[in-house]
Amino acid sequence: MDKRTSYFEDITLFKDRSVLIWSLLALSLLIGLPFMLAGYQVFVVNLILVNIIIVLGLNVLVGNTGQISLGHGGFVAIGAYMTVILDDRWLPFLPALIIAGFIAAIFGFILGIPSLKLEGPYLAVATLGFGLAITVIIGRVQFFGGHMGIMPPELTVFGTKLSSNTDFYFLCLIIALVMGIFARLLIKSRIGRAFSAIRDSDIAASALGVHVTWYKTLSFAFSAFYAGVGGGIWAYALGFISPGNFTPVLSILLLSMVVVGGLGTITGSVLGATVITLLNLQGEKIQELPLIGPFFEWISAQFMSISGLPNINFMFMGLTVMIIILFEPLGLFGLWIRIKIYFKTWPF
Amino acid sequence: MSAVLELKGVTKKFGGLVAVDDVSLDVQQGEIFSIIGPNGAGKSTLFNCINGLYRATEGSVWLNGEEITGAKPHIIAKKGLSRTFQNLELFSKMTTMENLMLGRHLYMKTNFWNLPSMLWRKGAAAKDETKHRQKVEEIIDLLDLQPERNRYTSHLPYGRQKIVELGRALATEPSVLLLDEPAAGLNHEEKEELIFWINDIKRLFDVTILIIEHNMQLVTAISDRIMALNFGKSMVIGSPDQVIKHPDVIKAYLG
Amino acid sequence: MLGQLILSGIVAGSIYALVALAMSLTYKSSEVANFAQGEMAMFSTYIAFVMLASYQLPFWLAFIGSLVFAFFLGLFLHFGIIRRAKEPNVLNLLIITLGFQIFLYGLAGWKWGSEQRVLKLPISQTETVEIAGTTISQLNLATVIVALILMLLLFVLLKFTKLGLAIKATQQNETAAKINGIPTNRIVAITFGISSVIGAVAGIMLAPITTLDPNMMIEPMLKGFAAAVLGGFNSLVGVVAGAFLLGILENLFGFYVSTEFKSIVAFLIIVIVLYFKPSGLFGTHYVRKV
Repeated sequence: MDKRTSYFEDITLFKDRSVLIWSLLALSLLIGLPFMLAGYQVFVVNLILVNIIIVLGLNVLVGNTGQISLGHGGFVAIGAYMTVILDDRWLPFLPALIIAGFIAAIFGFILGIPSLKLEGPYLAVATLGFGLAITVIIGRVQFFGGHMGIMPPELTVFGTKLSSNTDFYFLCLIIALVMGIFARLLIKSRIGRAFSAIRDSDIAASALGVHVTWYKTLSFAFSAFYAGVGGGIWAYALGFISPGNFTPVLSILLLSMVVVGGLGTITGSVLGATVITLLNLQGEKIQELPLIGPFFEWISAQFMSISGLPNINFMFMGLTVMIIILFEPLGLFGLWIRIKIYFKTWPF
Repeated sequence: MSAVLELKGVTKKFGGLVAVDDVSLDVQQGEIFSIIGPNGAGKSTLFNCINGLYRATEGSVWLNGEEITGAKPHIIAKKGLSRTFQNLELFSKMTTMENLMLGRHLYMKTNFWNLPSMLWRKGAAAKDETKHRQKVEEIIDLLDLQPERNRYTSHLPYGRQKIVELGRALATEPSVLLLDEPAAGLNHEEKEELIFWINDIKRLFDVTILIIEHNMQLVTAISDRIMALNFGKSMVIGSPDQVIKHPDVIKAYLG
Repeated sequence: MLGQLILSGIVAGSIYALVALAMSLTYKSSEVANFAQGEMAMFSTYIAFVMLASYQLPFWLAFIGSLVFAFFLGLFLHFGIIRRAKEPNVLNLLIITLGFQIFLYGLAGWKWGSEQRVLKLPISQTETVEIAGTTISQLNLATVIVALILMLLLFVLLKFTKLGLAIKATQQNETAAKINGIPTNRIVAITFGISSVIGAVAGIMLAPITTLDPNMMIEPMLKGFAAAVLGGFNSLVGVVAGAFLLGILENLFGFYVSTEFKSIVAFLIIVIVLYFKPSGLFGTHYVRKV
């Protein structure tokens, strides 16, 4: 479709001038965003950024390497708790975050070992068990604060205290951008190709010299690192974490973000995380909408229970997930491509 | 002239089923060695034993004087053995170029720590990518794959897919190449082209080639030696003339 | 004491077995791991509750009514949703059923609120029966018996009826089945209906023991899924065996070691078993030939 004149254009971030310009525009928008939104909305954006980071990693595992993980919430938990504990006692925030990420990666490596022999529902259950085990252990072991959870200390980065949502936003944005670019480079590189090869035919991959065992566990470790870092930031964004944050429901939500967004693509991860997070958090706001809100309240009074109205956001989330995957198997990324093609080939 | 690939008494059993029964052969440097036989004779199983997909139950496999019995496929690939598959094992969700680039996996140096250098044109990782893409272009040129370079392999017609898989195996610069029914599913024209290509490959890349084939025209045209396999046992090994005139071979296979 | 624990394990295992069977049945026929199974069962249980409480219907009528509802819910899932999928691969279908699960959860929560309700069965929860020196409540005994009857019915259906044969044929090779005149779409829909009914029975038997609220089936579903995998997802006998095994192990571990960690132990055991038998205890492993 696009004409390329050199090999470098295959792998570079900015294929041509227009992509560079759009990227710069998007960047300026992102920098200006917190000043255009209310405080709570910036908080929501922070949560979206956290989920983007986690989903970027999970997408490499599920979309690129073709594995399944129903337990990624466990890695998020490890990252969250380890960052808080390390920051609280021994290290400044950034090193704590990075080390927590690596600790999560080690667990990811361990979880990768069953993946060598298992696939499909069997792997799903093994990962599910892992996620559940992490939640239960954290909940019972006093070192992690038990049921009551723990509070992260004040966030200081390079000596400056970050206290407002906006301060935090820029921290999240920088981390998300760096990790996003790294993930993008990875996918287009020899490592990403090896991952995709394993997904498509691990027999052929092996016959071409790809060390399947190593790369599979590496993929788990990589995605766990991202989940751990995301979790670490999440703890500070929320201001408080407890085992209840890290149930299998979280893992399932993360997986939905990957599939709804678009398997194996960076754009997909961003779109999926954004849409599902918004639905999850803002769905309750349905009642506050001008026309639709009272309409649903009326239905509630007639046929349903009024106290249960907040559950409507689950209905919307479920419907959205179903409709997207039913009609656009490539997810939101697929929709995005369709829109681009439509405009490119307009007016035909 | 030394034996590049040697099989000594290789046997492969699946429970009670003996798929390959005490097969021994040696392939000389630069030879084109064909394996023929009826379906189910154990030909692909033999290949799988050679490249490490299966571990031979008994016997041993030697590559360039080094034993590789039971080694993992990626190690064997590293030692210079490459193969294609009877039913195609292409990476269907990737393009032709990406498939071929995977053939260069062993030679590329990109890893986690030099990944950021992919960002600028002169970076180590970026130069690695472009260098190996140029190598892959040579194969694309040889096999006339230019129009399919950026197409997803699952969208290609069957015959072209087979050529891509051949190219991918070549991209690893093997010293020994195993081709499992490379002509199956090709039309007449493509089969003729294949004969030229195999000879070109032998000449240009200095490889030793083992071929499993049913197409006797192809086999007799290019083989230096042929082995006939039946029920897992080797019936005869010899020159094309010797083998196709052998009474057992005629009875079991050529009719 | 040991006997008592094993008996409690069998009771729990009965519920897991029903859920596991339901999920395994749809997986066998169409490679869909139906993650909406739990909420479908929960919804059908609410329907039974509504019929009992609001319409004052006799129990047997409400029971049959909710099963009929469950059957049609299963048909709806297949025809209305899964069939519409443009690319029905395993991961996409999993997410679609997950979406349906979330939708049903929300719908049930909206309609009935999240308070816990009481579902009354005409079987006593407090009166007990003595079996081989151990005591078991009538309700728990009924749970086990109902589960066993259902399993037997399913077994007879699959082994001795034409429908059962059609189901197996559709699972093994859909195209071949179609060519031989089997209406595969209808067959798959029927399997969804049947598995929904099985799930509904599990929900109805479970509600008096635990409670009736939108969350009731989430954990049993996950455990049932795990049990199915433990036994071997493509062997119905294996699935049932895995479920009972899981129930018993959980109870044993919960008493002798610790109640807090008993569910992780269950999963740990499953992971260990899967390490040695990657297709579950009784599952068959299909190796692709290259």
